[in-house]
Amino acid sequence: MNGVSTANGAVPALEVSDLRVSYHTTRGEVKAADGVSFSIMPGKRMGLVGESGSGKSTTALALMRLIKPPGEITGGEAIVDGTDLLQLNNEEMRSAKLSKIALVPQGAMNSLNPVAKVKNQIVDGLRDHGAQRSSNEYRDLVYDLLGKVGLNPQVGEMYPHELSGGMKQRVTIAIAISMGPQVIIADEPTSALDVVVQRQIMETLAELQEELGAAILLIGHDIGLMAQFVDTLGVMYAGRLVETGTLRQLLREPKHPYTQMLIDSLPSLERDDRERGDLRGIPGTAPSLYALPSGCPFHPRCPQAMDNCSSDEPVLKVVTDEGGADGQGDQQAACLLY
Amino acid sequence: MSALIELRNTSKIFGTGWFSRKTVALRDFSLSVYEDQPTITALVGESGSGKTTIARLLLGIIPPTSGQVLYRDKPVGDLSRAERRQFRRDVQVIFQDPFEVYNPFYKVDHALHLPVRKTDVASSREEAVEIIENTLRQVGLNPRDTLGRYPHQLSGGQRQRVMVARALLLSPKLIVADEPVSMVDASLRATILENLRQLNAEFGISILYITHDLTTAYEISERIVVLYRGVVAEEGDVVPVVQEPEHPYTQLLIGSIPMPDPDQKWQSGLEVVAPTTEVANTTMDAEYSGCQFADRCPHAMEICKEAPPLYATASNRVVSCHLYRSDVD
Repeated sequence: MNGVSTANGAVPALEVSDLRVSYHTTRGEVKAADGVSFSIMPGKRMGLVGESGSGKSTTALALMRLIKPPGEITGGEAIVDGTDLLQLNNEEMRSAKLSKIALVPQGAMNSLNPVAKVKNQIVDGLRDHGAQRSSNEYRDLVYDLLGKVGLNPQVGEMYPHELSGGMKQRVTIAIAISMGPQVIIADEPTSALDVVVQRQIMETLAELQEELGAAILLIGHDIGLMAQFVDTLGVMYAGRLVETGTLRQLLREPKHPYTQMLIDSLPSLERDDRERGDLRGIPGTAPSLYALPSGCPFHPRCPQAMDNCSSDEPVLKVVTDEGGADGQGDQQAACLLY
Repeated sequence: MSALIELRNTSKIFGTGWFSRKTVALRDFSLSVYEDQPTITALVGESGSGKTTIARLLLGIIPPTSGQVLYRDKPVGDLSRAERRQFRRDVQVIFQDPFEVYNPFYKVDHALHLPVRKTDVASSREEAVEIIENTLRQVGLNPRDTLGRYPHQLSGGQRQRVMVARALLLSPKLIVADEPVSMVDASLRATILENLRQLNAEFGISILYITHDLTTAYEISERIVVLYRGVVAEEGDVVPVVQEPEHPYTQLLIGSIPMPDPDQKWQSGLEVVAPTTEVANTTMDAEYSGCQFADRCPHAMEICKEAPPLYATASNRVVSCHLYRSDVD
């Protein structure tokens, strides 16, 4: 994102502010998402990266209102099309799904009904949203959707077990775009696929999203995939967003020490024979959410930690101002160095 | 020079029942590991390429359908009790999932003491404890933070490093690491790969690194074998293979890797012959005898209906593609 197109007061497709999700367990409250705020403009793609337990999938599930007890959304807003998704009752949320916000789930192999034909699974969503059509119209719609995701119409007559992993993931994309949502959340959609198929699926998803003008939130841990796909990136650690900015800002000039180390630890085909194998991991392990360190949650692993890092909690602050009127394109980091 | 362990023209066919279709998991595959030349070899391929089948053959878990698995020139099936015991010590394995390899009812100590007890590594319990603690330190773990704990009390990265320590305990000659980092977070992945490299450099242990991730293979290995549907597509020293891939599949694979670089996007125009409409995968059928990649290959020719042999294109490098047959030049 370059900030220029958004300076004229455009409204974000998705605006999340201060999202909080807690799990109530016998060992106490666990804050899986702790004050997460970001926004995505229409037609743009944002990535959310983090290690397991960092809160990235929790954020995605909260936006789809799929947090189940003992988990609970304890605060915040998620505005799509002027509506706060977090305030909707169950019936209203049901109709917002697919039409306003849709999910492309992780592991397509488990998210389709094994005993229903593909076409019926696509039609289910449409019918549930009150689209009264004749069966011929439904059939044409299904063929059209399958064609858009690069599948043969005959796939509609097949059962999920007859499809490859990539084809199943394409079916879930067809379902996600069936009602033309403004926001698509893709939770590690290709993590189980090999790289060749992964590339083809992500290219299909990008084409459809551009055609719809929808915003995409891509959840994942593969920074390489993010670099190919997104405009802006957010990095999560221990339930918090620790850095956001454009893809180029985060990859070229990461400001938060965690982001810096994460990017340093990436293997690469770029290095020549001499530098090859110079791998640097991040020392220590991610903190348990039951017992977060005081102050900045990253300070025990941080090589640049200062005295006040163990007492003061950093908040996201603009570290690179791109000058856009609405703050789009700014790089923000939650670190006391800045 | 005789090999420590050798796969000689091995094939593995699954589903040999009356009604089930035969699936060829591995075709005519050969590999040798020499004791006096410890190397890190990467086996790279997508799911279904046969890489885990190779691991299971090497470990003697499954027998080959044809060909031989030889340990010090003797078929693994014909080893005496003593030889078999030595084989079990010399060839160790690290599995993909650091959650499922532990028995959740035992402390992690159990997984470390058992191999020591079953072999003659230590003569007393005190010596066993000492060996275990030293080995944990060698993989960068603090014994006090590790021993006496249950698997669920350790992180995924710690659990996987305990597995590296367990493999190292018996001073093996070869460690087969089957996707050891695919379930470990990015920040710890580098540390575990570094562990494997150290084992190779400091203890002279050969590593067979099985992965679908070509970038990590490039970082740690010297040799690379690219597999596609049970056959070798390309094999050679890792730098030339990755920098100048020759087989069309290797080219497609490398062109599809998402690079973490905003200036290096997936090249457009990489030719891919529509595999998305392909319904059933017929080529893994035992009846099919052509090039496995022909149905997706932009260079497919008439001759590709015959299986290509391994053409040597440089010293230490082979490619199974008719584009490199010698009568072309």
